[in-house]
Amino acid sequence: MNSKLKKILIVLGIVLLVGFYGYNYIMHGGARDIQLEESAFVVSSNDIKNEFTKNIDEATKKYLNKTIEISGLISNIKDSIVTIDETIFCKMISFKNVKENKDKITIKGRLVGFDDLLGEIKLDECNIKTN
Amino acid sequence: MKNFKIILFGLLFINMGFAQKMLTRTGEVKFEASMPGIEEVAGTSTTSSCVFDKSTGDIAALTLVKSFKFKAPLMEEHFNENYMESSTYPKSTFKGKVIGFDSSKLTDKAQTYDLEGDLTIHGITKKIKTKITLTPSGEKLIVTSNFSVKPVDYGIKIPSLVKSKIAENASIALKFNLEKQ
Repeated sequence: MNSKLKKILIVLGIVLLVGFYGYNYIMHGGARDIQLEESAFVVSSNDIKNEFTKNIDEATKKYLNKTIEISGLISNIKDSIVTIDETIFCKMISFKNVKENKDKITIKGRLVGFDDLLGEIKLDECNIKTN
Repeated sequence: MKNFKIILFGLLFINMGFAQKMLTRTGEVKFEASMPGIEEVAGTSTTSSCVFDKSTGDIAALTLVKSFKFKAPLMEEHFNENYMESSTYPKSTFKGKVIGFDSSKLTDKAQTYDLEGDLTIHGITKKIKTKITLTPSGEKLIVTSNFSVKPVDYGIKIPSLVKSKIAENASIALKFNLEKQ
């Protein structure tokens, strides 16, 4: 009787554990933490701008969904968006260390694509890289 | 001197034309294809762009597919890789016209118009007709629209295994706070 109960409890425990981890994986698994990832590319704002001007499709293929670091001058700060050199749109996760307009900064984030309506390169999950 | 005046007038008109344009870079686009009682299938992009020309009623919007955020990262991955194939088709666009729009008739109240245009999703373009609501708010113009699309129409295949979990009609809700350029 006692050993039977033990077995049932162990099986129940395993089922619960698998269920818990399974649910957790489905709901929260596979998340990327861009800031902890190693940057695939480190570029200046002018270089990446030129690449997109030359060939949008090729540049998109190269950078899309990649974690990159871009350095350039801040041209605009508004809400949660920092714009570098008029054309690089960065959606920030934090505003810590964001300085003034015209300051030189390096931003690390994920490239989500090229917006040809406004001619902007868009990034999200961005944060200021401090050295 | 006369020529100069003409040029000046011309420039003024060009300038007026530009002044009629309103835009946003942080528009909200919500996508939902949930079935009742089953895990929510929904994503939101808060970095969509939209340009609206008040003088002609022309409107264009663009959403980068990768900018959709889902509650569950795995769902986001499936949305991008299996359904939208966002590496091949990184953007969805709309280009159309607000039918019968007259900016001089804008009041403080919300006004609803017919909206017609081309919607491109997953590399396939279809004509759509829907309603659009414009609400002036100070210097801004708030634009909202809701419509539904059938993924099948845009060549998006949903495997039979998950068919019961994803709605046949996906609803799309737009909210753009347009500002003067």
